[in-house]
Amino acid sequence: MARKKSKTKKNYLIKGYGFPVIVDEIELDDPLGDGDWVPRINEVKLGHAVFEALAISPIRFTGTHISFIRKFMNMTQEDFAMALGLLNHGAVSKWERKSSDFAGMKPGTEVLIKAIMRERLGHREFPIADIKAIAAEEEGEVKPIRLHLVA
Amino acid sequence: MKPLPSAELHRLIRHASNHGFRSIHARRRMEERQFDFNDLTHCLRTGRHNPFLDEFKNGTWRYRVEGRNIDGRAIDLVVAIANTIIIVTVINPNR
Repeated sequence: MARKKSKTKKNYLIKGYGFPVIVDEIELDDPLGDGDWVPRINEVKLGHAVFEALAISPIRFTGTHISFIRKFMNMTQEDFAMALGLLNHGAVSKWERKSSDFAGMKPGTEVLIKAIMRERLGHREFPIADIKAIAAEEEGEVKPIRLHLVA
Repeated sequence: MKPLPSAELHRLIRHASNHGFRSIHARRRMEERQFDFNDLTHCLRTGRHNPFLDEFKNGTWRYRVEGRNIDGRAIDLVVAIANTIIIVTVINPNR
């Protein structure tokens, strides 16, 4: 019987960003035919979708979110600090060291980071309601990023 | 099948930064060694590859890509090329 070359899986958990990302439906491939089923996915498209989800949702940032955002924008800690108007990268390093815990930054800084991210994505507006939602968002429990990827 | 010529390998590795597969083993090692997808992508885009490492299985060759992440941390990848490119494992060369 011929080996099955691909299969789909619902609610697939991707952990490669240091924080949980759940894709609602994903196609898996076995490219070496050794039973190692891996997602058939364009990493750039996936990274872009994660970046956009973090930019748009009022979710509070963890250390790994900050590390992902910075690296996705191809910035060193020094570059990122400069983009935020900070004197040095000490604060960025401190946030990232929080790892999967909340970074502990002020809501105003999160708004600024999300504004920079939205600008990168080509968004021309940042509605006041979205800014208020970020300020009102409690840290609470770290939630996974949920994505619906359109083929 | 013989190992790929360097120019073709270079083209495939750069292409893999967007489209290649990451094996389950590579994902596990990536996490253990505290790298993430962005580090792998940066290494594939900017790293140097060796001519070849060894024959992985039945005409599939493995190659080593040596590079750094955006923060300058050294990272090596072992990639295999079958009908597509697969990252087989992730190595922290400083350990």
